[in-house]
Amino acid sequence: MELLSSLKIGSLIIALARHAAKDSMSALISELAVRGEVTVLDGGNRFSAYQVAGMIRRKTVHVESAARRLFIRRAFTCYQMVSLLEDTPAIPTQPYLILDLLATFYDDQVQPHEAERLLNICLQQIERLRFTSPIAISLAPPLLPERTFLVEQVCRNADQVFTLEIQPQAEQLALFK
Amino acid sequence: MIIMGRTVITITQQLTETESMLAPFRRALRRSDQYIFDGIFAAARRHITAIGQNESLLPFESALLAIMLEQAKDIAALQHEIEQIKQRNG
Amino acid sequence: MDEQTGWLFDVYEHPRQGVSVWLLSDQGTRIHLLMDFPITFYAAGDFKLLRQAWIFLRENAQLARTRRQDLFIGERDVLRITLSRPALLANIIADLQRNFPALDYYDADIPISLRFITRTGVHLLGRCHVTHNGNLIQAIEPLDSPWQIEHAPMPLRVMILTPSVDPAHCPPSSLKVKYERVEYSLSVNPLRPFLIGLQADLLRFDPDLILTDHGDTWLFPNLAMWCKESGQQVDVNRDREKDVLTRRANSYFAYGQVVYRGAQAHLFGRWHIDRKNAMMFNEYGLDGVLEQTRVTGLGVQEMARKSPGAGITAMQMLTALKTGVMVPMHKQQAEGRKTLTRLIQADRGGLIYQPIIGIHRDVAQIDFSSMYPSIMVNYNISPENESVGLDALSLDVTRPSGLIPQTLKPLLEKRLQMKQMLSELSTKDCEIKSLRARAAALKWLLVVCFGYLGYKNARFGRIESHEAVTAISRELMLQAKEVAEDLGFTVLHMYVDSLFVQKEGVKDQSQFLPLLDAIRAQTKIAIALDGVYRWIAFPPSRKDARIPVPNRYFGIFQNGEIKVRGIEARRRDTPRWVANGQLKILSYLSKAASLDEIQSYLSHAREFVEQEKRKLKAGQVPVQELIVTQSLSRALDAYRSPSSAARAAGQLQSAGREVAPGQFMHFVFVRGAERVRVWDLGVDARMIDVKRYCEMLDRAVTGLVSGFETAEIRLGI
Repeated sequence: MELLSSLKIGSLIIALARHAAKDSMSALISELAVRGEVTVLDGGNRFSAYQVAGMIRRKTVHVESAARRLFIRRAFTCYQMVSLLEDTPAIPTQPYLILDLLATFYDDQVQPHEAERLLNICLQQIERLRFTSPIAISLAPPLLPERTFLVEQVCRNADQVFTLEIQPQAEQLALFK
Repeated sequence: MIIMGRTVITITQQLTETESMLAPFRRALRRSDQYIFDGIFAAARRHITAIGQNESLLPFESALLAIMLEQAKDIAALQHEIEQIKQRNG
Repeated sequence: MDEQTGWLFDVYEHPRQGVSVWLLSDQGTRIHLLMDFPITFYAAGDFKLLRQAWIFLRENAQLARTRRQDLFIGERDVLRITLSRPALLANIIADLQRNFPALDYYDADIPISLRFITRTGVHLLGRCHVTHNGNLIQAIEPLDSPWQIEHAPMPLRVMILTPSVDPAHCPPSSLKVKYERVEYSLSVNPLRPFLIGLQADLLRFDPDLILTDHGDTWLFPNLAMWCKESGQQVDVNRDREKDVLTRRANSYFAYGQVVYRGAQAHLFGRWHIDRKNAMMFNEYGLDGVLEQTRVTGLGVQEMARKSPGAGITAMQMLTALKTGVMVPMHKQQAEGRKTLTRLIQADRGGLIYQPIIGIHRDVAQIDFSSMYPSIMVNYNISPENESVGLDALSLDVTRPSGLIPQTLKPLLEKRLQMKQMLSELSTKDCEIKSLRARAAALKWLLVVCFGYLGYKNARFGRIESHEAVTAISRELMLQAKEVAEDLGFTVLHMYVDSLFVQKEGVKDQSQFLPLLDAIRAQTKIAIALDGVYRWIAFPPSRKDARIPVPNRYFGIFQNGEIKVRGIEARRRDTPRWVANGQLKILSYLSKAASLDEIQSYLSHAREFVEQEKRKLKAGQVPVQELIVTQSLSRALDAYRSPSSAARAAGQLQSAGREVAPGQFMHFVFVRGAERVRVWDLGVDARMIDVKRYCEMLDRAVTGLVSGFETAEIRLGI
């Protein structure tokens, strides 16, 4: 799986796709959980508990122990996303998967400049975690083109950006390396 | 008002997803068998609460128990009927 | 020095001097007073930024460093900022947020009425004693409490203004004016005499409350325009210095759907409520709105238009203010870490038990009273408590009451007291209507408080607390089931906070009382008997008759009353003709003294259905009864294939009307490619899709009677 092989300490990979690459991320999460501890920060209700449990079961009978190593925290507003990242401790080598990071930033109740400011704080925290851990972030295309700048902001410091499906409406981003 | 949480799908939804994953299996069955097949899932749906209470990572395993429970009930009912018939016929 | 005793009518910001306070005095005068009102808010965060903020503010505010309580973090170092008057706050906060967005702000957006209540102890619509010098209040004391049930009624002067037709259909030709026993129509044209007449009425009657139909969306917006055009002044506000406060219409996402709120017109020194734009007005009327105002501290005009959620938020803010907890503007507690195992355990709702399909006799429905709020109070569930899941069940009872239980306890007690009083009053008592409305208004506040614990934007929300409440509720329901089964009852169905139980030989209400006592003793939550059904039917899923459907049933109580849930008659989008048909059938069936007699009544039912269909075909059913009501779930251009509501909206739009998501569309099904015809533009009765309506009726009726016809009663072994 491309995502898995790209995960290295210090690397930041991004998957940009419809539904924030839900199935691919679930597969990645289940594989990582079988191997060791993993932390998932879910920013857009993209974590499917039973789907991941089922995928783990297909890899091992020891579902329970894998499930106990898989940590999840959910954010329902962009302020909560900031909070989550600010108090996530950097555990060396443990991978961090941030699902649909921007979902709560697309909310039209949040002003664009405020979204930008909060996202910057998030990205700073991600840089902190990146020092000692591999990071994968999934993104869904924005509902409104005015928020595309947020996607660019996130991708700016990425090592690799995977677009797993191209949505006709989504703007072509110039950042793919 | 968006309520936080409730991101894990319900048992009912999970059963529906499992059913749709089994759609190719079902399709290849004869129509009469399809009806019985649907009945198996209906049996599971009569015990959604118990399946949920188990809080299992793999709810279908608990669903199978519910299905077996319903079958056991059917068998018990049939045995009861047989007894009654035997008694009536002396 | 003068003194007054009376009711606190309203409080709002004054542009230059503190707050405006309106009093309804015991002498019958409406007095406008002012009160000095410095206000305080707080900023916290990075020390360097706070220093800069200090320098930024020092010309315009009194500043101090202090420590204060954040509910989640505990005590923190804060900058206390005091302004001499409330009118300054909005600009200062906007400036601060622009220049120091990284700081956390507290107590910065609290409604002024709540601050007033906290400072003076006088609640809105409460009785008070005022000492004033000229028009400046020197002292004010409360004379009663919002928690008492009996209170001296305010002698309100109410004027009712209703247009001759719904302005959405066509411009009204006249406005009906009603005040006490006076009732007459004012012709809208010519304009000047109309305005002069309205102005005269307002001066003569001097109403405290202007109750309207379409006042928010038609009368007041147009009034402003007409006054400008004609140069004729109409003083709708008692406070002549103020203009009418208007808010735009908007659509927003709430309660799982898009809700549409029309424009608003708020008055000063007087109230305006538009009955057609007041969310819950039809539920509990003016008495209910006043009751909510009394306990929440939000002004009457706000409370009438806002959802009960705003009321609960206000109550939480009041508790916070009173106990020295700061109210954050934004900062939110994020979820703690959960393993996958824990997530699956925690992320569940109320207990829903699949019903036993079929028709059952002598079934009792028992309901926990205000279950979720009671759990929050009894088990001390509050965002600042670390309780997780069922650990809360064995909570340390010496722990002080949290913010949420403190807020809810008096509300819960008042509602339970009212319910008790209602059960003791005779139905002919003149007080009963008002008491019922007030109890219903309080019930709504209680109903939403659980939701607010888990609301993403709630100041004091926390997902773990929300989950703890449902975990405890599921546990208590299972305990209730065990108690019932230990006493020999069969539990036919359970739904979140109600149980349906049955026992051979038990049919009298009094025979169920020991069960209620036992459950109450076990769970420590109040529980009551909703009624005993002569029979109740749990119909199966329409897709497969072997699949049970929770919360769908219909039955007849012993007193002949029909109760239905989850079937067409209860749905908003069912046309009246179909809903009435279903209810008519149920009323036929209710005549059967017992289940055995049902068959003969079934044939009546069938005849009735055929008769109704004949009437429809003959064009004898009024078109109004065929109206389907559905809300537009999204903007018109967001539909891939238009729903019926979208088609109706499209017709309105083509006719030049504005449509917004969340608005309700009223339409009729017609033959031909159009498929629907929106009601507002007129419907030709000959175009009705008779076939479709007959099918709807058939479907609705089959759902009811099929269970009886097969006479299948599942015994279960």
